[in-house]
Amino acid sequence: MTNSLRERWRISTFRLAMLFGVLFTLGNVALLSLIYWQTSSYLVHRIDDSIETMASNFTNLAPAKVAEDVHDALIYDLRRSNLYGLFQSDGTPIVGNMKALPAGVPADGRIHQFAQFSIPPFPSASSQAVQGLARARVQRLSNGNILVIGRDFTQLAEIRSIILNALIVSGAVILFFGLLGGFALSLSPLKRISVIRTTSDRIMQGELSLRLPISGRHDELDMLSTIVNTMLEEIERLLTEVKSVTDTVAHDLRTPLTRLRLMLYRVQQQLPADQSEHQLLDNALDETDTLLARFRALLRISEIENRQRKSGFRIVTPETVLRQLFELFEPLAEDAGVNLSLECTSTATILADPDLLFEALSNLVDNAIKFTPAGGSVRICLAQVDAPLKECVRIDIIDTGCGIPVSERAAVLLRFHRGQPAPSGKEGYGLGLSIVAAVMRLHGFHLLFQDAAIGTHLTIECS
Amino acid sequence: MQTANAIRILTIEDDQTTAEEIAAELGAHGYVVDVVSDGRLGLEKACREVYAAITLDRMLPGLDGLNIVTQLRAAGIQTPVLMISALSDVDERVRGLRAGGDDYLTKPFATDEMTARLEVLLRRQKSTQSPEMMVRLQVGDLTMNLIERSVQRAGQSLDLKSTEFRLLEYMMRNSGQVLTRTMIFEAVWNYHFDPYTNLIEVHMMGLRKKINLPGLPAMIRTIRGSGYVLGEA
Repeated sequence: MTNSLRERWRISTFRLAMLFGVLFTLGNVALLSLIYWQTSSYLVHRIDDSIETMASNFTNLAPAKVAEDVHDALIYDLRRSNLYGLFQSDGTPIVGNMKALPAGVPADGRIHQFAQFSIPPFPSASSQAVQGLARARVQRLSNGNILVIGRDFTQLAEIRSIILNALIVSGAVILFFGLLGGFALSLSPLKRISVIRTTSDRIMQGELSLRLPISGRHDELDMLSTIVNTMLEEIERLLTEVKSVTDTVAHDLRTPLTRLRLMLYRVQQQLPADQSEHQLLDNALDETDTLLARFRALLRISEIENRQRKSGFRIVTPETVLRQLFELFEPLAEDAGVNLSLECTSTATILADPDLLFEALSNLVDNAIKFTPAGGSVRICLAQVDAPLKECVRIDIIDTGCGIPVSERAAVLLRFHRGQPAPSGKEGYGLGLSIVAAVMRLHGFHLLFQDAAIGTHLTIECS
Repeated sequence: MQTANAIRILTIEDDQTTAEEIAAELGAHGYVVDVVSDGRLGLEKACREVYAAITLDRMLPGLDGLNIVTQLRAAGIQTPVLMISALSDVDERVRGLRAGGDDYLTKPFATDEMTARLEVLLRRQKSTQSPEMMVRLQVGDLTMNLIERSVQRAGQSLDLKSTEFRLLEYMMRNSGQVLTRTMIFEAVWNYHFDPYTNLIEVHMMGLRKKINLPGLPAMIRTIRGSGYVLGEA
């Protein structure tokens, strides 16, 4: 699951959709915060304004008149939402509906907010004053008394918190749906992309006749698919052309070469063995055989590459294949003075074409023996690899021969793809390895060069 | 050259040059060759007349090579058929053999390879299924017991590895015939690719060392450019 999420994250549509979701959510949060802030400051301003108005009635009054006015104001305050209180300088209440001076509020003539038992809007016998909020202006009169004029803020604060809650809840809902919507929106193009991906994989595996799907919506994916399809058509045409030319050349040259070989052979047979021409013809025959082998190998490579066939694929026990291989090559190694050994520590099975696998492996072992001087050794090892998901087997072929320089390894690997014959100095290297490479590609196996102190260490990972 | 008891071979081949080559090569070995270039005519001729063997092109005008061999076998004609084809894929080979062909040769071929294969087919036709050959093989003073899996030369036991045993068994079953490297690789190891190296030679060398006993004549001869023959010199 995390894997597929990580994979999705890499896809731009998904990222764009998610980014859009996040931006959308951020915008909404900003909008909601603005609404909250505006509403809340509006409420506070309203209250503060009315407190100021109320307070203005008391300015410049004689201290004795203040007590009287406070009393009157309480009588006329039918909504009972106002706070009036006149206290002596030591805090003893003189008149008003407040029992005590608000704690911690300085008498600086500004409006402050503090906790206060609120006055229930509809007083009844059971209704108790509840802990609430109030805003009030506290000022010191000229005779040292303290006048508090304020307003109950509890209900407004409640309204404010209701608005806040509403905004938070709607914000969360918007966030959830924004992200979910983004995710859902990104899925459908993802599905198309994954179809395109599987198709491309199959095309890369050689099914060149396949084309990318086109939805008919004429969107950007369709446009790209059309371009790729046109490209594929061109590539397929060129490839078939090249392939058929190569095949025809190889094929057409083989026929006269076979006849040439036969003629040389007949001439040679008619000459007595001790004549110098006999030896010459022997060399000519050898060269012709080499040429024929090259052409056979070339055709063989294109044959392996051409076939999309996995019809030859079966459940194969690599151990059995390697034992046969060992048996086949043992005398050759013995003849070359090379110690050939086989170690199998796995009896796992793989899906492979046993004939092609054998052919590829025999090319590798043949090379290993060929390039290992007498007294050296060639080890073939079969081991189980601990892969998390699937069964994986690795085959190692380790020789103590001349090895392939690191700088040349890439070139050798590159030559695989081109299928070019090796330089004449290293006879039998290039094409043999090209066949191996073609077989590996068909199977989806990996051929790796390992670092070795001496000789060559090749690893085939079958998975 | 044509005598009453000459061995007759039918060649169904539409390529003029290849047909001539086959005819010349087989003629040189003393066979009488009839060449037909059309599939339908070839099938008719194969049904009507008696041939020791047939070489059959895989792709023919009129009637396809696979069809011909299928129809021949359906008609109960068991003449050995050597299929010759430009299609070298293993799948094609399997298809050809499954249809009833006895051997499969890819074009272009060396004519001596073709003759060697054809002669093995002719020989097999003559000597198969003798119950004796299921148990014991004998060539000269060389005997092989297939049940005990033992080999003796002039009464002396030989110790062979299992590969050497299989190789010798194949050669003894086809003694006196030229066996090419490809034929040996196919028959003994059952693989159909070109081993490119002197693998078979090395195996042959090992086998030779074991069956060549001091004082006794060599039994395996090398035919330069072609292959090997097992038999008394």
